[in-house]
Formats: sequence, structure tokens, C-alpha cells
Amino acid sequence: MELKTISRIDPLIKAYLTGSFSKDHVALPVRPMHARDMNLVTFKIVLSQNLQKPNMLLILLKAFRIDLLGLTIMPFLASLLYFFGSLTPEKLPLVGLALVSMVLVHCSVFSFNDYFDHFKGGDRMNPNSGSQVIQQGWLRAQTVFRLSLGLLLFAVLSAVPIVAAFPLKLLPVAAVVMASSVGYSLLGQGFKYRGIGEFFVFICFGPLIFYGTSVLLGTSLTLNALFVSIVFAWMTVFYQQVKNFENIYVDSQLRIGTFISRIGFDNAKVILQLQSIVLCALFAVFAYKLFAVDLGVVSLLLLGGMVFIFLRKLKTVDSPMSGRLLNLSRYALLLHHAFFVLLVAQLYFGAVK
Amino acid sequence: MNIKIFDKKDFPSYLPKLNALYDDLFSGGKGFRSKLIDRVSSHLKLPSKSVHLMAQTIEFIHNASLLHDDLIDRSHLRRNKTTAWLKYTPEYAVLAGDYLLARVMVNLSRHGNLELLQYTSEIISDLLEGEWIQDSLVEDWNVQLNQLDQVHRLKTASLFKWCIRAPFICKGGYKKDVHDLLEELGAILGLLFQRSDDLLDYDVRNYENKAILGDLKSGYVNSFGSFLMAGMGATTIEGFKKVENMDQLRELVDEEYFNSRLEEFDEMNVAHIELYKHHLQTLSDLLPEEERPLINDLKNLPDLMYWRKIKK
Repeated sequence: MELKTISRIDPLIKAYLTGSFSKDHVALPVRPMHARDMNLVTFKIVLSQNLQKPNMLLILLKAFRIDLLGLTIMPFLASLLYFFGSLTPEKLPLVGLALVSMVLVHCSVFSFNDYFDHFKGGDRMNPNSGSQVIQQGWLRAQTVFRLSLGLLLFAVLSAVPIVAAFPLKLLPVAAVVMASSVGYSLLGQGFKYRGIGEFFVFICFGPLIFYGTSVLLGTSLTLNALFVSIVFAWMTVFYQQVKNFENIYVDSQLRIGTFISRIGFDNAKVILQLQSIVLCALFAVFAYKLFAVDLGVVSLLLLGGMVFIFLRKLKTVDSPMSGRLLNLSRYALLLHHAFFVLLVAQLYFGAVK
Repeated sequence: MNIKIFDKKDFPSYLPKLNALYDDLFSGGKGFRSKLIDRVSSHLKLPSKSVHLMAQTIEFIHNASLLHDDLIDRSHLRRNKTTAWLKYTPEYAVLAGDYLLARVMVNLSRHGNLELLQYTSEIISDLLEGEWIQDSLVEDWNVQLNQLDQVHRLKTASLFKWCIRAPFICKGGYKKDVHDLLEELGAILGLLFQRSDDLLDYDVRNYENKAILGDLKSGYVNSFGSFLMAGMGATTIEGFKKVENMDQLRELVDEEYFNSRLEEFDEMNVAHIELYKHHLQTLSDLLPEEERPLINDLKNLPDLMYWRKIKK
């Protein structure tokens, strides 16, 4: 086993962290025994061809966090279905471009996140954080960076015709999305690390999407539509906070100041419980205001039941190292997708007011 | 050097039972940590007074944690003797542990090395944090190995880190890179020590015939337990909760599976031993020539910690 230890102030460190030090070898970062203030980084140097890797498609799907793509495109698809009456054939190309742009932004943001977390050391310390494609040696960090940049560029190019069609209304939207995407984990100093990541997630994963779709389809954003967008946004923030709760110990060790790590374990549990109750209330209002009575009751029972199960799981978590923490975020994701499926079903049956 | 850790003269005789409690406590231990301090210090040519202070410090911290641990776990025996909380009172056991930690602070502040005092406070803080988190994991049957490693880095590894690093802090004048390496070396030793101890609980390499399955019976999944149970279904994990002896464990998890998992666990730790040796080599390049013989003294420690003997 070849190991190499380099100081962070050594000019060579960047080459090892980015993977550009060699064409034939990869430098797998070795998890340090402690996180704080380490000057030294140790790598395991391995011949690239000796690494067991899945095929490139699977690697890219993992790198781009396709498992989380639903958080990005479901609100958009929901908004399209919501405003379906305004969707005409001539708008389809722009709608298609919008979808492509969103997918590209999603892939780019998660790749950037992986890249900057790799430099900060977070994903080294926590094997449940990020995609781990860099840590496994499947992709070099510089490849991930170039991919993210390229994807962002194509996302911008895809968005240009859309923004050009409605510049006054969509340019501010595009600016906010760009600033949020780039600023979220930028250089390890972004919004995520300052406890305000949730605000940008909320804005981008619900209201902005619905607003953008309404502009694209030439319709107005009704209060009911805004309400639906808020439900999506709230659930995405909920997922993010549950994920941060899973990582609360490592984030605290690495001084990553997410909102959850700043408020601490006990308060975070309370916040998540309150969030769950708010979600139930939102589902109840949603069911009452938007659906026909019987379908509304079914939705509320299903979603409320899922929230109740989540609360029970959360109650059993007594430690930041608990094994019961580990799959909580997957459950929050399931809740988000279940809401989408129920909404689509309701829209399909024409039961939405 | 024969280091006398406990001296009745250092503690007030007017406190009833205190010296008797400490006499019991300090008379049984192997003093491994103080021996490690001695070994490292000898290569740095530190004055004997400083070596004695450091040896005493680490043994006081370690034994304070044992006093508290035994009460938390409600253990009845420590080093084949009745535990302090049971023999005296729980209150005395807690206070005796606290008194040792206070004594550490008094001694170090009198010594005057602020960096050493600061580092020691951080280590005690880590130790207590690890203890707290470990206590929060009782009856958590889903805890993963990487999560337990975080706990052990705080709890066990912190004292080994201190043993390796404190003499260098005492001497002073070393770069941060040296200290970082010493931290990593100490942490790896601590991790290996803990994992070996956890294997003992499953009667693996139990050369001293220590009591087994104590962790499992008290609802605590140790590192090997977590590794063994990884990927098992809920029914099998329920079975673990009822295991009383190794025969029952072998019925639950067949011999072949147990041995294959043990082999994988050992392989993982061999990788840690390799990492340790790599760090030792890097350290050697950073030390002045007259201190490099220290490397030979530290070379066999990980094998001793993990295999409980030196592998040839």
C-alpha cells in the first residue's frame, strides 16, 4: 500500500487533492483520525486501472445525485400539471429547455458541493456525506470541477432563450438561481456554511419554480399555486435539515455552521418535530382548499400517517452517533415524493380547485 | 524508570476513605500509559520531574475515567477487585474521580507550561464527550462502525494521543506538522487498542481469559459487534440481544461467517497498522537526528496493541 502525506502549505497539495498529480494513479484521501486543524493530508496512491469501479454511467449518476433529482424536477413537473390548461404546443420547446436547464443546474450544484466538501475534508470524515465518487477514486476532483462548470455553462445556455423570451420577469429569477447555485457551497464559505442555506433552498425549490412556469406559460401565479409551491419548498428544506441533522456531529467537528449544527442536537430535534407538525398543517390546508373532499381526506391520512411514522423514528434518536439517524433523510425524501404523486393523481382526476 | 503514580502525601489525609480508595485503584493497574510517556520522554532527554508529572497526569486522568465508567456501567469488578462505587459509595467514586482531575489541573498549572495545560484540558474534554456519546448509544443496535470510531477517537484515542504528544509539548520547539503526526499516531494506537479490547469481548485472542460478552449483555454494540451485525436482518439482531454465551452466539451466527468477518476486521486493522508505520516514517524525517531512535521504540506498538503480541 503506497501512502503519501503532504502538508496543506506544500504547493503539491493541490495537485493531489484535484488528482492532477498523475495520469495513471489516483490519490484516495485517507480519513484522518481527527478533524480539527490538520495541516497534513494523507493519500493512498493507487493505480487507476486497479481500482474496482462501476461503469461510467453509474458513476456519473451517483456524482450528479440523481437519487435527489426528484427534489428539483418534481416541483417543476407539478407546476406544469397545475398550469396545464395554459400549456400550448408552441410553448413546448421553451418548457423542454427549462427542464433541461433545471436538470443541468441540479447536476452542477451537487458536483460543486462534492468538490468543495472534498477540499474542506467533510466527505473524508463522513462516508455518508456527498456522493463519495472522489473519495472512492472513481472520478478525480478536477474532473468533477470541470463537469460542474461545464454543466453550469450548458444550463445557462439552455436558459438563455427562456430568459430572452421574458427578460423583465425571468432575469431576476435566473440571477437568484445562479447566485444560489454558485453561492451555496462556494469555496467552503457559502450559504450552507453560514446557517442560511435553507432560505435559498426554500426560494429556489418551490416559489421560483412555480413563478417561472407561470411566466413561461403566460398565466398568473394564483394564491393556490403559490401555496402548493410553498409546500414543495418546505418539504425540500425539511429534507435538507434532516440530512444536516444526520451529519450534525461531523459538521460541528469541521465547524460547518449549518443552521442545524448551530442550534445543537436537542434544539434540532425540536425544530424537526415542529417542522413535521407544520407540514401536517400544510397538508391539511392543502387537502381542504385544493382537493375534492374524499380525495383530500385520503391524501391527508396518507401524508399525515407518513409524518407520524417519521416522528416516531425521530423520537428513537438519542445520540448524534445513533444508527437510527442514518436513514431519516431517505424517509424525508419519500415524503416529498409521496406528496408529488398524490398531487399528480389529484390533478389527473381533475379534482384540484 | 519506576514511576510511583500515587503517593498518600499528595492527597489530604483528613478526607475520610480517599487515600484508601486511591490505594485500591492505583495498586492494580499495568501503568501502560505512564510507561509509554517514559519511553517517549527518554528520547527527548526530559528532566525526570517533568516525566513524573506527565506519567502521573495521564494515570490520574485514566483512573478518574475508570472510576466514573464503573459507576455508569454499574460494574462490580475492576482489576479483580470490587469497584470503588460499590466498596465505598457512588458519591465517593464520583468525587474521587473529580478530585483526580482537579489534581491534574493543579499540578500542571504549577508546572507552568500553558500549552501542556491547554492540551490536557482539551483531551479531558474529548474524553468526557466520548463518554457522554457512548452512554447515549446503549441499546442502539443499528450503530455503524464509522460512528463508533468517532466515539473511540474521543474516548480511548485521546489518552494515547496525549501520551505520544505531551512529551513533545513539554520540550517545545516542534513544528505543527510534527504535532499533527503525533496526534495521528496516538489516535491510531488508541483505535487499535479499543478494537482489540472489543474483540476480547467476543473471546478473540483472549489470552488472559477475561470475562466476555459484557458489552453485548449490557446493550452496547462495540466495534466488532457492529461490524459483525452489519447487513443483518432485524430477527438476527433481536437474537443478539438475548445472547448469554459464545455457544448461543455461534448458533445465531455460524462459525464460518464469524471467522470470515473476523478476517475482514483484521484486514481493516492491518491497514491502520500500515498507516501508522507510514506516519512514523514521515515523523522520522521531521525529527532531529538525535531523537530518531524514538521511532524504533514506537514501531512495534500497534502490533502489540492489536494482536496483543509483536508480530514477526
